[in-house]
Amino acid sequence: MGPAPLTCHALTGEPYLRHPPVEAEIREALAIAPKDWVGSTGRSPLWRLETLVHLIRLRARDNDNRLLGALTFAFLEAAKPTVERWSRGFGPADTEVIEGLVGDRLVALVLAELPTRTSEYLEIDAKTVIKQATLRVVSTFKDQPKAHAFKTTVQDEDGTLSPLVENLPGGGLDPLEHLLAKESSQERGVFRRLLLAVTDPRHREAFILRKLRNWPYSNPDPAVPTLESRFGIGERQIRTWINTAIAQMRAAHGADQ
Amino acid sequence: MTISPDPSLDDILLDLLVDDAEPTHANLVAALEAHPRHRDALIAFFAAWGVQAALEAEEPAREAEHFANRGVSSALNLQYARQTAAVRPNQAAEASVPAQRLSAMARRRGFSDAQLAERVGLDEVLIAKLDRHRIPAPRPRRMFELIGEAIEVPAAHVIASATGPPIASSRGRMMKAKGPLVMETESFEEAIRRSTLSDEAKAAWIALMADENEPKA
Repeated sequence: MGPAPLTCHALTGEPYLRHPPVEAEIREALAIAPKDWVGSTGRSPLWRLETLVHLIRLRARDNDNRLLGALTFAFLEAAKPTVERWSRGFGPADTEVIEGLVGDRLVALVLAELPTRTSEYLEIDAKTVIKQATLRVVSTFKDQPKAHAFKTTVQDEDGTLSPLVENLPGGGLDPLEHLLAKESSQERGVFRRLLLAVTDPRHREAFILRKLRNWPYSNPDPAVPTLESRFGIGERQIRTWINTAIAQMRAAHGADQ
Repeated sequence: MTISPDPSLDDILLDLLVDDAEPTHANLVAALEAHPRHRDALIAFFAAWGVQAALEAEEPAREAEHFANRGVSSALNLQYARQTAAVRPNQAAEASVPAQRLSAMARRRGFSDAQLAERVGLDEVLIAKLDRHRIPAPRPRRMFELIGEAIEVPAAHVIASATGPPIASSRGRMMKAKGPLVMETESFEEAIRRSTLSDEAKAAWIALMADENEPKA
């Protein structure tokens, strides 16, 4: 016995089809009793995410709340690394709120009463839908800098405080420019680690959108998204933000050396 | 065919990811031209996507259990709401409590609260408090595992049944309340200290709770 076919179509008009390994795994599950879909510990064996979605939907249809709970637990546990991957750079409290909202969104998609392209795509490539759901929540989450997160001074061994900017490595080739110009994945990794050294998420976002995503500061055409419209401030202040981000990254890079 | 001439924002965003698009400004402008109705959401999504795609440094993995348990609770609430709506269409609004109460699950296995409490080393009041969500997280996961073993349901399901907004002790009390009913909760440690357990048993539970290596739920 095989699973019922999906009902939606891609933008190209092609019908949605599960990948063969998923179809095979669902057949394997349907060949055994539902109670054996999860182990005695309450954790599912290693079903694929897409298979778990299908099995959860079957249990929901049959009002089997016990197995529904166990399968949902397994699905969300396996989904967690993808949620983490696309919700980085937030503090613990914000992260918990974001993850709660993503969990609710995923559950609503898994248990959608009427199939949509997004809900059905969970049975084709669940990680892409999890990524989409996470980014949707993150995109609605207002970054607010935490006052305690700002570090504008450093303390030396004698306890003397001095402005952070005085501790930046000076002269010669800017190490950030050097890293930005490099293509090797190892150095890209260093650069991306430095991004997390930027304490104000708005500064980090301004830096990334300008330097990596080519957003303009301003544009005479109001239809074109710009950094000024994104942040609601002028170019001069955005440049200050970006320079602050660069200074913090440069300091972090200097500390790494 | 289920393609709508006016696809939902969810579907538009999914298509961008399925097409392996990059979160560049040029792609954002193209998306805005195609879907001007979703302008604000698309700009916010591209900004978040652009930032997150740049943050690839490794971070320690965060604990998955709390995330999964919360989602299970959400799924069971949703499922229960639908079941209730199907059975009692006019009373769907009442469907705000979890599908399975702990005490009800125990009764189905032939245990009273007191009998269940005895089997897992708690007292009857503690079981009642868990049933009514009066002891919020964190609580030792081991306690839920013991309860799950006793009533033969997964620990995750027990956790879901003991998680959520506090539930009133009785319908009568809710009806008598003149203002908003304040339902008190207490920490696991407080609840244990107020219980009728022996000093030795209390100490064992409190030590389990204090052990940083013991998972909590």
